[in-house]
Amino acid sequence: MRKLGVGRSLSAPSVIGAASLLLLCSIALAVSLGSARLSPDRVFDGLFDTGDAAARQIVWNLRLPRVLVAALVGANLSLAGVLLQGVTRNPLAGPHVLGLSGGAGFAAITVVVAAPGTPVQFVAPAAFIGAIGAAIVVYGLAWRGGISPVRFALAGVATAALFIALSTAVLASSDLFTQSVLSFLAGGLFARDWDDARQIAPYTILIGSGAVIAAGTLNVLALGDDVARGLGMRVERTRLLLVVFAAGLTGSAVAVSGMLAFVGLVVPHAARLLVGSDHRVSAPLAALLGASLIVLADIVARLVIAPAEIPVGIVTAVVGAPVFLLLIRTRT
Amino acid sequence: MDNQRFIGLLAIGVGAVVMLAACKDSIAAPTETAAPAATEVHTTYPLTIRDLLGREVTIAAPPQRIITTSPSAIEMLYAAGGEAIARSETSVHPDGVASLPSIGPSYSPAFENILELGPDLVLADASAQGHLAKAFDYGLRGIPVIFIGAVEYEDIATSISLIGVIIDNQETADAAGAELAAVLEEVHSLSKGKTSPRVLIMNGAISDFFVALPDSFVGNLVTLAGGENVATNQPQTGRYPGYTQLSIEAIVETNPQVILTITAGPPSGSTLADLVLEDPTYANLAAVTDGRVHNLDVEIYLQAPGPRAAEGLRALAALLFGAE
Repeated sequence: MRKLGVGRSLSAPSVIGAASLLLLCSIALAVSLGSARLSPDRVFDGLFDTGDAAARQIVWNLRLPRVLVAALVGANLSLAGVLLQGVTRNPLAGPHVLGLSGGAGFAAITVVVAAPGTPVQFVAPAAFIGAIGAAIVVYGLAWRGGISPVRFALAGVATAALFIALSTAVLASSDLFTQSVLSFLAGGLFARDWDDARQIAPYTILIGSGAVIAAGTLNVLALGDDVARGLGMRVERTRLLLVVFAAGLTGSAVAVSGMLAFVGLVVPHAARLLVGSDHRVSAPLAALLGASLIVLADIVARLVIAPAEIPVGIVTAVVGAPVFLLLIRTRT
Repeated sequence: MDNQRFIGLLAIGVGAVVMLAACKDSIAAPTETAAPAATEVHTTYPLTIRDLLGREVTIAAPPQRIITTSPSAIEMLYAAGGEAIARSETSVHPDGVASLPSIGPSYSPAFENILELGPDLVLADASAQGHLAKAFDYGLRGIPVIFIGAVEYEDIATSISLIGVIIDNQETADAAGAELAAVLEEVHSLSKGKTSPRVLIMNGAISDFFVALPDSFVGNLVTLAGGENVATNQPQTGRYPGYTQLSIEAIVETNPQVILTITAGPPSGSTLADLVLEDPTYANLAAVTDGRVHNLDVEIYLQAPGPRAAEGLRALAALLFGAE
């Protein structure tokens, strides 16, 4: 496995191991910290003992599901970013930039506004369909007897702008409260519960592991369409399947957290910087790093002006933009 | 042997049913006898009550530790003679509540902090927090949450009276309700037989404002005070229930005689009323030439619909029909 990686990168198992440890520590920290200051033994009681009702409710029913949702959202968006950057062979691609988030957000918010009280389990499929719809639009716009990565990216930018404008229009004409609208457009995790965790988990488990397994095909695609065909790959079919995976991952994330920008763009770069361009390693690493990033960012979102909170998407944008610039400078 | 055990169990079962029936009678009886007496009405617990969102909530015992999650809720609680142990971030009325611990802003209350304070009742806002009802029930599982609030003047008395029943302080609550009704009477007598002035209510900033319809809270107060809302037949547009967006041409066409404004933004800056008076666009409106452009208190008329609306209603009547 190492021979495919770039020479200076670290060994894959050690980096994956370190990233798993980082995720576990982030989750432990996020469950321990909150606007209510609980002592470590009360956090422990909340997790394993039902005797302390307040601690149980705070740790088990408020913090834990929210932290898990944050981790799953981060993993999904980062994996979607790896897939889309690989498929388009464009380092600027990502679920937000290519319009998948916009399509998912538009579908989700239309369902919520048109049919208030829709149970959460119907919002994720709607967002999935919206993301696929956006992908089809982007694909259709970019198709000229084949897909050029550059055209795909340009069509994506235009489609993203269109769907975000449409979502804003639906939100502006609805009677939703300004704060809820802001939280959706920027990406927020206020009051996420076990229902939300249950809603996104199947997508992460099924499509996420599918994406990790299929990540090897991205290595072949990276060689160029002609070489990939020469190696026996059905290029267009593979590309379409990977885009559908990305749509599922993006749609489920948007349904529970709104339109979080930057994560799907930045995290794949960070993963490649650490382990090189072998997608079989960088894909699972990106999932772990993305999960840790959102869990940590959500701690900041909950604590910085506690007991009030800010949308987590604002934290990821504030952290993500400078990190992205730094990555660009160190890589060139 | 088995038969004996069976009969024994049967006897216990029958006994339990009889006892339950007896208990039920003894609970029901006092409320029936208490009603005609009417000298001092008391609440019997456990109390099951329907709140302003129509949710049925059971309260086991007289609440001792009450947390309010909006400015309206805390003002209504104090008007009913109750006290809170914590407040939402922007709750500063009545006097003294500003020093209570804050549980965060109304739009995203920190359920963790509420739970840590161990309340036995949470009073939430039906109009500002109704969309969070599911999150409240989930986040505060096991703690009774009652939604109260006001979209109309009469809702204030309804909410206060509901709190009065819940905290077993119905006399104070009824007195507060009577005061609200008395002010309404007084205002009616002031406008009686006079022509209603055409009123425009603007809310926001000079370049970005919404116009209040009669079914907004401030719109309801203006109607009760005897004003004729120029936006009466406009459809609701934009994201605020009870508000619409009117073009400047449409406003000029209605030529309001009185303009009332609620200013968005920090209280230190110029009010929307000042800006309307300076703006050449509005210079020819009757309200501007007559100098009848007034800024309204943002809390009383918008952010904290509650018992202070009585003084708000009085002030409106004075603005519309001249003081005394």
